[in-house]
Amino acid sequence: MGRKEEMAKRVKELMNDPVHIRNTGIAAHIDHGKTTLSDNLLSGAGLMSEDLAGKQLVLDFDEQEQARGITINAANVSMVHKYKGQDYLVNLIDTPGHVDFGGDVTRAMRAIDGCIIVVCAVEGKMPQTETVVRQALKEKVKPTLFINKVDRLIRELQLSPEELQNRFVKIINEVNKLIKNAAPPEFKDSWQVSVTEGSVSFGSAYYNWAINVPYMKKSGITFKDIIEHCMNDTQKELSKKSPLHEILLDMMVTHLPNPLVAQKYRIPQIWKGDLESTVAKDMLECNPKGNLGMVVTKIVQDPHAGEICVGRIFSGTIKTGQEVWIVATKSKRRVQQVGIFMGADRENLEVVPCGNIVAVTGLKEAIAGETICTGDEPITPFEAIKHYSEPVVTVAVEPKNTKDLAKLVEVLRQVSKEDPTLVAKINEDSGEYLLSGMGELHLEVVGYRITHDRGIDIKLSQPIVIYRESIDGKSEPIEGKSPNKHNKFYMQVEPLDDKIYNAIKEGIIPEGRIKGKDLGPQLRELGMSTEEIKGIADVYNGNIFFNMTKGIVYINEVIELVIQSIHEVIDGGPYSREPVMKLKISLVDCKLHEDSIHRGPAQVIPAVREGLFAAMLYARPVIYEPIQKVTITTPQDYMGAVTREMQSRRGQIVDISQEGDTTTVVAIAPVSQMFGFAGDIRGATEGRALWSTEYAGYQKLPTELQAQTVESIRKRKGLKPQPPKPEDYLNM
Amino acid sequence: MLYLIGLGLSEKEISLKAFELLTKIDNIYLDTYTNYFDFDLLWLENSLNKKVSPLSREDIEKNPLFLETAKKEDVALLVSGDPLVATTHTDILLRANKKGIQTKVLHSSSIYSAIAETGLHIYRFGKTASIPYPEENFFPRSFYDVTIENKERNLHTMLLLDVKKEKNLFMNPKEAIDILKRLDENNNIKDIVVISRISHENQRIIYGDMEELAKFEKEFYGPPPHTLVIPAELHFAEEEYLLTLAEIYKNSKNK
Repeated sequence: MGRKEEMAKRVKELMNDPVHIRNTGIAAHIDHGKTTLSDNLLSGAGLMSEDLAGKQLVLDFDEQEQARGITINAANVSMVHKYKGQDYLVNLIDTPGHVDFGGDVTRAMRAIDGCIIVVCAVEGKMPQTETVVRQALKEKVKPTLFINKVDRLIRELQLSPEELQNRFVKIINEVNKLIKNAAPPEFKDSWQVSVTEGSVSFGSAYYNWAINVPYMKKSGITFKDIIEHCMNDTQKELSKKSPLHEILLDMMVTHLPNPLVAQKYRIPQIWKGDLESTVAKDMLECNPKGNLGMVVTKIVQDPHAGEICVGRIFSGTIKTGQEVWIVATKSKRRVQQVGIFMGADRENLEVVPCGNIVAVTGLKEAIAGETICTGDEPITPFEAIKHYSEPVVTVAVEPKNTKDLAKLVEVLRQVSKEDPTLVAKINEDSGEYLLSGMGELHLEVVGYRITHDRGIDIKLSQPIVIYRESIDGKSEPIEGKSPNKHNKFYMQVEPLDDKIYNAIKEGIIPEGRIKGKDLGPQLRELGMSTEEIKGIADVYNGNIFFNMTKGIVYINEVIELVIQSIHEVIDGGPYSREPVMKLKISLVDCKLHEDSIHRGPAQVIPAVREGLFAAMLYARPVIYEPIQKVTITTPQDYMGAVTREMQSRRGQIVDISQEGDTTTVVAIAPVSQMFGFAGDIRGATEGRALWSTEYAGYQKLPTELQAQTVESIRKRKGLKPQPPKPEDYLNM
Repeated sequence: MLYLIGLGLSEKEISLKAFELLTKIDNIYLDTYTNYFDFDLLWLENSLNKKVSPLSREDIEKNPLFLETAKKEDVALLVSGDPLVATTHTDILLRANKKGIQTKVLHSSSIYSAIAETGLHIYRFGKTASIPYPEENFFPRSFYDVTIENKERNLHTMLLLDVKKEKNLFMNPKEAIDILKRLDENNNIKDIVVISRISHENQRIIYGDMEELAKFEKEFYGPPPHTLVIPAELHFAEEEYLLTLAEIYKNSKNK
């Protein structure tokens, strides 16, 4: 039996022993060394040949990932680690670091209970370090810290032991500050990482060694030894004495919680159903005999098996042939295969119990984020997986060969299912296929995959920015009349308060049909009046609808239609037909016809739409544009070139910091101006600048650009170039 | 001048007065969406030797070009039944008035009076309501609440059935009874009167227990139009009339 087969056997045994399971992930800023780290953990576990580790990048199993040198998918691996004579099953998810793929990171966090945050010793804490730590804590995923690339501090920067220590202390303090700020209250202190306790390790993923205080005590290795090894080019020797996988897997096993511990506090955070119900108790206790409760965190396309759902089981046991609910569609599907990943290979098993990460086929309708269960009826779904970014760029996709059209439609459906941060749509007017994503690179990667993995030669159009429209002023209550003129809706709009808008974006106010009284204290703190809290009816894409009417008979029979119509308006506003943001809509009064036939969808929907359009046009409509935070690290000599490049792109430099010869420039720039940045910055700095971007929300477009932008959006959509006037919707 | 003209419940129920008027009008339009009607207007077109132009909901509610014509010339808008009964056409008259157009209504027969052929006394009817086809985000139940309120006051309820002309859907009593049964969890509704194709050659009046009537398929009731009445306690004259002149589907145990 080869080592791999032997391991598969051990994995199967350990699956039933949740005390010795750790569901973990690695998260970091781009290029801080996550994938190299994962590979070395794998090779340590015997899943990959030692010589290739650090070079082969097994978790980057997309050919394209290897070519680009970045990790795109969050693949999962199960492995066995022995600590103090006891075997542990460690499920490891690798997550992408490039922010354009941030959606994958957020979803991966749902599956795991603990993680290693990797920070590069040379660069220190970077913007995406902050993002991934926040994402982890939001899901109640416990962090530990690995400071990578220590060899470079020693060899390249030649830091003295004291300077080395200062550098470490600085990174650890920064990470702990992040944890303090973002952790749930009960973990603000207990989840601080600590050198003495061993929840911080140092090392070099590339040279395959690591060290932490517990291991130093055990082995007698000192920092002085490490400096000597690095200076004398004997890191290979060091990797034998102090192997990376040993130190890090020890750290995970000792500091990260097992599913029995973690599910007790994670379930109330990620599942908002009745905690007294049987399924809740089964999930809280991780009961393998209970009904199945599982969340899909990723869809992988397999050339043989088709769509594979990867997810975490919180209760019950999943079996081959079992019938399960796909909760969102309320449909039942039969499980075809159940298995686990061991690197790029999938091992099929018959059953997998709760507390594990599993790969399942046969769940056709499932998308990433889906809830899967058994029982008489579908359970409350898991909380929507909150993305910190939203699609801001669109391209039109066209097959080079028209006979591929039907195939392309299917592939677009599949890719948007695998990656919910992608939105595929058909433009009804032009017949174009539109694909929206989080950035230029994100869409290029998807386009590349469609061509290379799915074999459809496609052309992508120039990227187009997705704008938002909102308003600057407040309208009077505006009357919207139904076509039969027997129903009237009085609607008032004004900009949503910044604090409230941010609370929606941060998930403090959830989206959907929320009940104000459930969130009373939070809403009051945000400045909402008791009346408004009572009236809050719906939160949709960063907008809130308040039903402020009182004592209207039959309001219940029309309110869903009112909300439907409001959603349609939010999906495309009157000014430019772009999605609407930051709008506060109040229905202050309405008059309804006595008979329901005369106040059906054909009457209510246009009445609300036209009234709302007019109200928004009265309230000084305005365009917002998506912006990015751009972080550029460059040698001092190219500082001027970098700032010039940013300024020519309407960029605002918000911070410049210097360390040795290296300067870090942080700027905010509109997404529209960042197209083609990769090539230009390479040219301007002779390839010496390292840079990354991060979603930074939407910002009002400068006044002088408003009119021309609206006109060009409208022209592109085949609308009259001049935006409408409120009277256009009030003429009846 | 704008004339709103009732066509009545079946062919040739238009009043003679209206017919004579139409011989002098060139702009004749037809409301095609408000009520059900199955009688073709060929006989009218032939005897007048004029075209009748059909108008959709959009043509009437949104882009009322016929009103522009009415500023200069006489215009007739034909509506099945009685033009202002169970329609929202008072709005047409209002809009015409705002444009300075004079208007006149020519009435005709309507289900609101013809329902008396069930023998139920018109004085004893409470609020009328319609049963709509449930749609996405629209599943009203107020017609049921109205029925129960009427019942509590010992009044009959006339229930009009939905017409979705554009989809060629006309609610059948079978569908209406299924919807009612779903809402009537406490079995408040005992019996129902169905009146099918009123004023047509093959008119039927059916009286029975909801349970019994629910057993029939759509075909039993036949083509539209249909109207339902949920009767209150019957006056002896009402009862005698129904038992004598309606088709009875009552389970003797319930009697």
